[in-house]
Amino acid sequence: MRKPPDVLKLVKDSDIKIVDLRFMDMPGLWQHFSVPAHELTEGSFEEGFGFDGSSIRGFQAIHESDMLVVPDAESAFVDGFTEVPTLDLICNVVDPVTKERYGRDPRGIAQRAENYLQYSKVADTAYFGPEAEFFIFDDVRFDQNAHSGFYYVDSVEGQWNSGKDERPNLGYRPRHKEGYFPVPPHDHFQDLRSEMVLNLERAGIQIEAHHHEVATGGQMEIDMRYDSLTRAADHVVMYKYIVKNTAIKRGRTVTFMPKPLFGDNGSGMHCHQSLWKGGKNLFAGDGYGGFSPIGLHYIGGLLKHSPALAAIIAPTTNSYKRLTPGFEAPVNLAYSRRNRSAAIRIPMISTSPAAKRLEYRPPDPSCNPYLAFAAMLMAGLDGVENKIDPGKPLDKDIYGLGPKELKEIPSLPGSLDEALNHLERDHEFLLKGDVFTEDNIRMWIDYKREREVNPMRLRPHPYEFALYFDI
Amino acid sequence: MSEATIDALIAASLPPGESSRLADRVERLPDPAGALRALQVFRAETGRLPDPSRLPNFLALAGFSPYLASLLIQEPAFLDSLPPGGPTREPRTREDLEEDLARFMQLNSGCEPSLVLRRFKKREILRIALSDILRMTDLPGVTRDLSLLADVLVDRAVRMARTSLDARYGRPTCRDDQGHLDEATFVVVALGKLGGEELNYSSDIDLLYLFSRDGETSGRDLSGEGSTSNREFFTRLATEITRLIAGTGPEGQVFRIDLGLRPGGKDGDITVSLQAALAYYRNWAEGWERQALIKARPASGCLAAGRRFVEGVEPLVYPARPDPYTILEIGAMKDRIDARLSSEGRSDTDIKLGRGGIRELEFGVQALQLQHGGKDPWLRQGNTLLALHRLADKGFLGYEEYSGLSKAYVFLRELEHRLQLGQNRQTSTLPADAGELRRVARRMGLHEQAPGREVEALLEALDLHREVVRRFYDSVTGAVAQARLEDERDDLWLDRMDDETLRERLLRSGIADPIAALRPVKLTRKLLQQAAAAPETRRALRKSGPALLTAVGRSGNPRRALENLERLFSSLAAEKQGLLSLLSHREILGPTVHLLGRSDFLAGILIRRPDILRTLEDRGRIVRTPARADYLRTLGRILRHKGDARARAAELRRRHQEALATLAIRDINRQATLREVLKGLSDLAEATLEVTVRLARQGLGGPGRAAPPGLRLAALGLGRLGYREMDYGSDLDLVFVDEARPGSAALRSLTRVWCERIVRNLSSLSRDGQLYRVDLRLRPSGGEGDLIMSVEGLVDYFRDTAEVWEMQSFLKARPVAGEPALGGRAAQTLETLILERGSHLGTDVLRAAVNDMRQRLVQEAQRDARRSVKLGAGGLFDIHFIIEFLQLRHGVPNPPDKDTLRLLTHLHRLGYLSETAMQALYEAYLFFRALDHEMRLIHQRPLDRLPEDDIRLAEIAAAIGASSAPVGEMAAHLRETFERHTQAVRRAYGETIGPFTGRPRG
Repeated sequence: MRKPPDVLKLVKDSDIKIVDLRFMDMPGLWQHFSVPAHELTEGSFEEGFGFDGSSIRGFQAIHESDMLVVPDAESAFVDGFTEVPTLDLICNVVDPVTKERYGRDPRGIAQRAENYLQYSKVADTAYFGPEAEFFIFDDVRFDQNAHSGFYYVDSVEGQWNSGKDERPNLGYRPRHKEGYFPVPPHDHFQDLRSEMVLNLERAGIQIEAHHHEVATGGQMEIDMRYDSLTRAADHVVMYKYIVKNTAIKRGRTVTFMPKPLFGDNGSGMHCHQSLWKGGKNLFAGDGYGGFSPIGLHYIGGLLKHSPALAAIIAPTTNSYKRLTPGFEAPVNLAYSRRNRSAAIRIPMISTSPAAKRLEYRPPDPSCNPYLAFAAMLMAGLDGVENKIDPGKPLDKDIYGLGPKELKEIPSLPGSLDEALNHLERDHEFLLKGDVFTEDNIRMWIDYKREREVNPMRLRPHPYEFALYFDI
Repeated sequence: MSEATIDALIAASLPPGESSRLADRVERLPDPAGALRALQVFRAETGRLPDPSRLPNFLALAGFSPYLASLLIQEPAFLDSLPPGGPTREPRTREDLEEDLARFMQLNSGCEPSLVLRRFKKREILRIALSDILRMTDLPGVTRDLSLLADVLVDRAVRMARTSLDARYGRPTCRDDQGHLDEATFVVVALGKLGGEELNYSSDIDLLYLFSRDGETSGRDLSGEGSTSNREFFTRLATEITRLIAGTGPEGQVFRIDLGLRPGGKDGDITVSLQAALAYYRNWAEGWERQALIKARPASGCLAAGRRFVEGVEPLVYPARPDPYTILEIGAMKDRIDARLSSEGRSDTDIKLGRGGIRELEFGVQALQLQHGGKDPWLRQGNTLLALHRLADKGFLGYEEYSGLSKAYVFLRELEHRLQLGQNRQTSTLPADAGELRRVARRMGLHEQAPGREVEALLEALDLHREVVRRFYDSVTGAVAQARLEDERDDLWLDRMDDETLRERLLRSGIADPIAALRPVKLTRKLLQQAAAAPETRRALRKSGPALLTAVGRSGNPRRALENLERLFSSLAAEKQGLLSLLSHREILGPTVHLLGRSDFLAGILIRRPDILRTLEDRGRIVRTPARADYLRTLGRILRHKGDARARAAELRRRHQEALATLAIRDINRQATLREVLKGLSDLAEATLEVTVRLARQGLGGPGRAAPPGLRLAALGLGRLGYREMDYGSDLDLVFVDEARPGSAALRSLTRVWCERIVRNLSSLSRDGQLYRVDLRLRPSGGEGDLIMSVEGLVDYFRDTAEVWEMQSFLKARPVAGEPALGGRAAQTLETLILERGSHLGTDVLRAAVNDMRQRLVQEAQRDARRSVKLGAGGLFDIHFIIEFLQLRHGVPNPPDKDTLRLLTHLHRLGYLSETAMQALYEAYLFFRALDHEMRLIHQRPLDRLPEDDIRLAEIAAAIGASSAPVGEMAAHLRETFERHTQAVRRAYGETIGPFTGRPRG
């Protein structure tokens, strides 16, 4: 583990001129400000740096705006995109007076969840392996005002460009839902993805694979190696930063919006999860899919709380345009080895106990990973602590399971609004150990309703014109 | 002694003429020489011989035992009190004896009372012994008379002790089930031989001191001066009674008292409330402790309360389905006694504990009583002879057997008496000395039946009777063991069983809702079956399984007990030998299940820290609630531990959890009242804070360097900490202060770091838990203000800037940790300043400000239903607002040891709070606090709003002491009470502060 002196040495050795301090706002956008490298001392890792927190989304009210960020030495990495040599440090947000952790700092919530896990004595480490998908576009435009509104995205490999006169148009564009995963020239982004991977590894994130995803128009996936909860969330944030900036550098743009294209797959962020104690994987056992009772109860907890979790792990109105039946979307609250419409899949690729994990599929990359991972862990833990039975796996009699029976399987909420209602009713499990507080939940629900759900409600949708203009 | 010597002695001792008349009588005495020697001493001491009419009595007593002779010599007047022809045959009643005692006391009113009691006892012993020696009373009569004597003397001691205590503390009061004021009473329950009304001449008396209810004494006068808790009052009473009876003085003791059978044994409180005693026997007592209750009998004091106790424990002593192991344990206990005796070479000579002795007979009888007494209440009888008779009545003994056993009992007890009467020693061993043995045989009268071979006759008879007892005892314990083997049915935890059977078995074990219990039971079965793969665990489980099930059935909430039990087992299963270790300690299984069923809060600690269970037995028996100093000692040790700060902080958290568990256990067992528990939790919080303050100071000067001199701070506790009313899970409301020292910016910034560390250590959650949530927002300027403030700065703030609600909060301030002088000065200065400013503001301004803040809180409560009880109108906040308003308005300084109740009575006494308002607020406060407390204890959360479902409400109602009734009724009653108190508080608020415009809570 890297300690403050190691960071100072890194600054010296890499001739760093600027230190960039980063932290997360509540909705999940990375924030930053910089100080000259000489401002960073060993004391900085305790004293922190002051900033005005009043205009950070979801943070303080104006009258109590002074806050501190305290850098975490372990998180240091050299920024690959600045011209001036810059070191990036991920920070914790603390109260400037009492030095208590700020209750609304998402990273603090993630760390509290890890503490609670240890306190519960169930396990000592929770590993998360997120797989964030994204689209690479060549062009994006959108606008909406009182009398007009539109969006427009374009991609060199978008199926819709097959008929375009490109003098000459060379073809080779993945058909809808056929992007997974023919070799180039179908796949236009091999090199760009490779470059992203190299940048990620340079920042210290271990990558396991990269590939084209199902959708046309440049849907991609790069797989990171799992890590402990907070570090895995750090990695998601860094991943988004590096992927976006690598693309921008090459004149392209990346979106992690869950459903940017109509008629093709959306981007999810499946999360592989496992609990470990004393170097042992607690999920490995001899139950269904090689799972232990703890593993199955964890699944039970995730499934039980999924409707409420949805408001945190799929937290945008756009998320629910991805979470619709068809499109391999995991809307059924069940688990399965094979069925991809089940919210939880048990990967059978490896039989090694160490690799035993579950894949929770409803999350998408629009979530705040700190909050999402913490919330998922708390739901799973609730399952373990209360021995929640996950029911029968979905694939046990998949062929006998007609649409009628499928109806009896509960499914995820159909909209953010619904999900928020669920969260409002079911959030006891998040409050254990003060991981989330009533204040967090209240703020989240209010913010999402006032800033996202209601504004969406106020705006006519282009397709409404197609449906109703002539009524 | 040869004939010649006796003749010589007679001639020398007796007046001429008398000697021939009495010679024959003297010769037939068990110890003629002893009698005559005593006569000589008597004459030497008193200068006269006994009156001729009393001489036969003298000779009978003195010729029987040197001890009795010595009594006559000490107090010649005793001889005159014995009727010349020996005592009458008519049994004396309790009233007779009480009257005699009263007269005797009056005659001796100049003497020290405990001395008078001792003398009276001696006089009566002589009377009883004489009647015994002259065969005018049989053994049951003698033992009954001895028991009666003890009852009357103890009863007198109770009255004597009460008089002075009443004058000092007033009369103990309490509230009955309906909440009416009542007098709390005290009873002495006799156990052992006294309980069975079969006392020996020289036995200890086994006593149990109980009082009817917790509460407080009325105080010396109307102002309540001198009022103390009933517990304190009765503890003093019990100590005083014990001193009067068992205190040693120049004339010995009245009786030796054995209190070892009280709840908690030697470490238990000397007296406990009825409720606590019942809880103890229900949940903690081991088999032999319940067995001892067979002989429980209210003996002195308030007998009605004693009867309530006996009735309450009866179902525990005689369960409908006896646990066969209880009876096997009796056997095991006897085996241990045997082993000890044989190692001391006393198996044959000890007629009480040895083979075929009194103890085997008693154990055999009790085993049969325990086995059949559940179904047959007729058998519930503390007196051994009567119990034998009733067992025969009901056909559990054959007539021959009964007759043999009762003869054996009478013989053995008589022999024991005669062994003891020699020197008034509590012995049951045959003397090794041949002469002494012969005297014992003569005391048995055997020289009359078998002249010349009385010793042989004694030993023959003894063998005969012991053989009868031995056969009986072996057959009983053997038969019980056999019956148990036949009773071995499928084990609920281990054996295959379908849901139907499972449900039925659960129902039979007293679990009212077996369907709800099914899930946790099945989970537990699964877990235990896995664990039982290890043969050792399997054996332990087979043995403990039934006890486990019984305990669950007995739990107040079997479902909660089962669910928590399953979690505890899971947690233990993860540890090596964890499950085995718990299962093999059968005696703590019952208590554990009880605790798990009663409190999610405690269960949470035990599940994470099952090691605490290993010390459970000791924890249940801690003599008193630890105080701040005790906590400081236990927790403070970590300051000297090696290892880094993190390791020490972790150890602090662990010890804190242990202390919490201990307190919660005392709480559940009602070994402490609510007020005591809250004070205990506050003391624990203070001690934890103090240790944290010191811990955080270490290393402030840099690694390995001492902190700079002059570094000082104090912590003021506000809110619940300020009033010493912390509950489980309460936040710590803190304000840190230091001294203003110009030009010491460096010191100030170091102090700040110190505070930061304190807060961090207190509030961070680690794998060992969290100490406290810390709330620092009450400091001046709230969240924006500096973490630490100088006393001077605080004073400035309160002189000009502070708002009324801040003044209200700081009235509760109390120095809780750090530099005591500094904290004390801060609290004192602030109080003076606040009261001064309060009275300057004027009533109207105060009223407006208080009302305004109240309004805002009530609106918050209306907006957020989750906080309705705490903030809403008519709740706890109102009570505190009334107190603070009155303090500010009238400039009332805090009484020492301030808390809500004390302030209410204080304000009332000063005339600022009407009697009705005080009464209403007092009761409402107790009710709300109890409600909040039970919510936290049972459900691990504060009372935000009244739970909606009846089951939960009924559980809380039962926990705060409602008598049991159907669930719906109990819930409705609790709702009504809640509403009644809310209304009353709102009325009081209106009367004291003025009309409150807030809309009533919906």
